[in-house]
This record gives sequence, C-alpha cells and structure tokens, in this order.
Amino acid sequence: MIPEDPLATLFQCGNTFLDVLRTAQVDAARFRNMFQLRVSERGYERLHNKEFSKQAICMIQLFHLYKNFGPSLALNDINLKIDEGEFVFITGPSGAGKTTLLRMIFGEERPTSGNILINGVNLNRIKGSKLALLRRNIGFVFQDFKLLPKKTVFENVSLALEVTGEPYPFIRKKTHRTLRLVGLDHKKISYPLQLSGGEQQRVAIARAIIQSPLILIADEPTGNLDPDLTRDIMDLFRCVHSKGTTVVIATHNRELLKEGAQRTIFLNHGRVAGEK
Amino acid sequence: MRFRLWFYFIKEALVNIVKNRVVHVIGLGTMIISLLIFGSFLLLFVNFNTWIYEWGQSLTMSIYLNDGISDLEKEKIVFYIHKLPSAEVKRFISKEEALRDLRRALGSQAGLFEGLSVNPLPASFELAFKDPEGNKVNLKGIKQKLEKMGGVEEVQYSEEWLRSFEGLIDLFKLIGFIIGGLLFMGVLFIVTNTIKLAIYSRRDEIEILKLVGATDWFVKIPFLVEGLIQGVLSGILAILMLYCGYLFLSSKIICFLGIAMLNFVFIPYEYMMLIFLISVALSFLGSFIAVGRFFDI
Repeated sequence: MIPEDPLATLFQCGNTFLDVLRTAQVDAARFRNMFQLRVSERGYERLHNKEFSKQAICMIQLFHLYKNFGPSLALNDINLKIDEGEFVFITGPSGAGKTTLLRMIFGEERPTSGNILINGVNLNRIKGSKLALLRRNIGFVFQDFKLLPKKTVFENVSLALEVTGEPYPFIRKKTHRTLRLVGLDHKKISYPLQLSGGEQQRVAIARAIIQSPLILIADEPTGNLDPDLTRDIMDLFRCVHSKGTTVVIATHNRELLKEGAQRTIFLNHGRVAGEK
Repeated sequence: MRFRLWFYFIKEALVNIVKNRVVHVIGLGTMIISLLIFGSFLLLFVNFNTWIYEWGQSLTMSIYLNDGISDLEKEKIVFYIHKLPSAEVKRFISKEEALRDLRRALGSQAGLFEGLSVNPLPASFELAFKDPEGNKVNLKGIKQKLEKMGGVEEVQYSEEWLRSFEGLIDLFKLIGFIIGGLLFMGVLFIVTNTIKLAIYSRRDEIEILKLVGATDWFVKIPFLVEGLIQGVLSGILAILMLYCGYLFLSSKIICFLGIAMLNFVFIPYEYMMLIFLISVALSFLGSFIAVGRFFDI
C-alpha cells in the first residue's frame, strides 16, 4: 500500500527514529548514573565477591513467622528465603498480610514469634541504633509515600543521606544524581503536593535508593497509577535491580505479574499460598 | 561528632523554635517569671544579709543621762567608755540637739512642741562598737555597769533586736528554698511540655527520619538543643530584667528616703551564674525527660 503523503510518512518515521534515539540516550545516561553509583558504593564490592564465590547469598530469611494483632492472626507460619539480587513480587488479596510482612522485614513491626534474618542479621537481636544502621541498607517505598509536605523534593530525598552525617557536598551531589536517575531533576525545588501521583512516587523511590541499599522494598508502588506510569515506575525498579539490589514488591496489580517471569509469592490469610 | 552534624542540630533547633514560636514565647515568659521570682528572693536575701552584717559590724548603744548630771560624772562615763575595747563615742547629743532631731523627724507635726516650756528629752552618748563579735564584747555586762554609774538614766542597745532579725532571715531562707523548689519544678514541667509539643508537632518528620535510618540520638539532639537554647535565653533575660528592676527600685528607694540610708546592692556575680546555670540545667533536664518519654514508647 502506497501512503497518501510519502513526505509526511517519512517525516513521521524520522521523528520516531529520533524518539528512539532520545530514549536510548536517556537510558544510556541512566545506565551511566547507575554504573557510577555502583562503582562508588558497596555494590561494586558486593558484585566482586559474588563473582568469585559464585554462590548466592541469602538476603532475607523468614523462619516460622507469626504475627498477632490482638485476637487476629496477620501472619501464620511464614517461611521464606530471598536471595541476593532477586526480584520478588508478593501478592494476594487485601488483608493477606503483604504490608505486615514488608514492615517486619524493615523492622517496623516485631514478630509475635519466629525469626527474621536480613543479610545474616537476626532482627530480634538488634534494636536502637543498630536497627537504624540496618535501615540504611533497606530502602522502603511506602504505599502513602510518606513525603514531608513542607520540604522540597530535594530536601525530601537528601533527608535519607542527612541522617548518615555525610558531608554536605557529597549529599548534594548524590541527591542530584538520584533525582536525575528518576527523572525529577527539574522538579527539585517543588513541594510534594505540587507534584502528580507518579512524580511523588518517584520522589519516594529516589529517597529509598539514595543510600544504595542492599534491599529495596515497595508496598503497592503502582496502586493509583495509570498503565504508562506503572511501566515507568517498574522500569525504575528494574534499573535499581540491575545494580545488584534485591527488590521486593507487594502488589495486587495482575497486569504487573503477567509481564515478567519474576518470582511471585502468593499470600492468603497470612500464609504462603503458593509460589511461581 | 562531626562539626557538620552540630550545625545541622542547631539549625533544626532554631527552625523548630521559629515554627513553634507561640509555644516557645509562652514557655520562655513563664520561665523568666519563675526565675525572676527566685531572683528577687535572692536579691532581698543578699541585701538583708548585707544590712545585718553592716549593723552587726557597728552595734550602737545609747546611754541616756539624767538631767542633773554633773561634769565629773560625765567625765567618769567617758573615761569608762574609752577603756572599752573597740568602742568609741560617736557623739554627745545634748538635750537641745535631741529636741531638734525629733522636730526634724516629725516634720510638719513639729508644731506639737510649740507650747512646751521644758525639754523632756534626755541628753545621751551614742556609742559604736566595731566588730563586736570578733572582740567578744559583753554588751549586757557593759549595760549593767553603766547603769550603776551616777547620772545614767538608761542604757539601750540594738543586739536583742538584731537577734530577732537574724531569726527572720532564717525564716526567709526557708521560704526562699520552698518557693525556689516549687518554682523549679514548675520550670521543669514547662520545659518538658514545650519540648513535648515541639516533638508532637514534628512527629511525622520524626517517623520518617527513623524510617530512613536516623539513630535515636540524631532525632533527639535537636530537641535537647532547643531546650538548651530556651534555658540560655531565659537565664540571660531573667538576669537582665532583674537588673533593670533593681535599678528602678533602688532609684525609687533613694528618692523615698531622701538619703541613701541603706546600701541597696545587686546580687553578686556567683548568684547570677547560679540563676543562669539553674535555668540551663532545668531546661536541659526538662527536654531530656521529654525526649526520653516520647522515644521510649
């Protein structure tokens, strides 16, 4: 079939090609950023060790985990093992215990009984400042973002580095780099409430990954986003995952689960109902 | 700890104070008032003590003479006084002088004496004892001896009155301690409350800070700094206000008495430091209690 207006078609093709190029350029930039992050941080060392040992390190281990909220049992004998560098979805109906499970891995909730090992450290045995140090190795993207409305995007993201007491030039540099990675460098002086839902989500992700964590946990990160934005956000998670970070995402978005061949854990009534 | 972190803590504390300025101003005002009350007590205490010390340093004794005293008897009395250690005759007040002094003291009421044909007032010697405590002067003995001498009508001295005054000072001290203790408890509650409100108003931020890996102390220290700033400010302001009050009052007293009869002094340097340190220590303790309670839950 001959196009009605060959010139216009050619022009369109050219535009598409340019778009592809532009995307590739952005991806390349992202990759470069990623690589810089990796080289400058523990990630490099981690990767290095892994290549030599050729043995997956167990990042998250749960043994006979129970959690009661009053009379109701939120988690019922959970046994789980997630290796370093895995990309895991946790899914199940509302009230299955997804959020509770994630909060326990993060040390925000204590188990009624059972043990949680993060990178070999038993969470039952640590508290106070040790827990704080552990959290610096776990990035958490909250369902409600938990951004501070009176601080700018830049301040919200840099907060995660402020707490480590790093020198300010380092914090500034790294915050800029992370904001560029999530594509929000131009919104750094905006306040969270001036941003769209997808942008707020990206700020939350930037704050979670700025410390180059060993584990990235996200609770319903695509809850109220349209399919395009969902794809963007998932790309971001994959990007972080490709750095060597273990990623755990709780979701009940079926579309998301169909897409990849990632490991998926099904929870129902506080039990592991299946695995794919 | 790193310098940068302290910069962060102080910045956070100041931002916090500006954000919660109403609470802080109320807290600061209450603290200043409490410290002022305590400071006023100290000021009065210091001055009473000084006056008593000064009076104690120069005890006075009045020897009233009979109207018909002979010169020989007078000489004998003067001779006796000169023999006493540390005593000196300040002056001899004749009958006329005594009347004149009384008229002056009565001022407009002096007309009462217009119709008087005889002067009822006795002549007297005014004695002063330098450092009676140190010289172990037996005032009672002197009084008895003098009263046995010819021409002496009566001897009065100020010691008995002074003793009761010293008892009053002890009572004053006790009241001061009780009021001071109560006020300090009040100050402690105020600071604890102010810092609790500050923590409460920032609970979201605290939660997020802890979630991104801030240690407890990283979150707590700005609040402790906040309490310290409040303590330092209220300490300084209370001392300044006390000084202004002192200047105002002392000028009033001098005007009222016509002459500066009493030497009205300000609290010494050590007591100023005491007020300041109490203020700082209490506010630090208060904020410590506040952060402890909040974070241990």
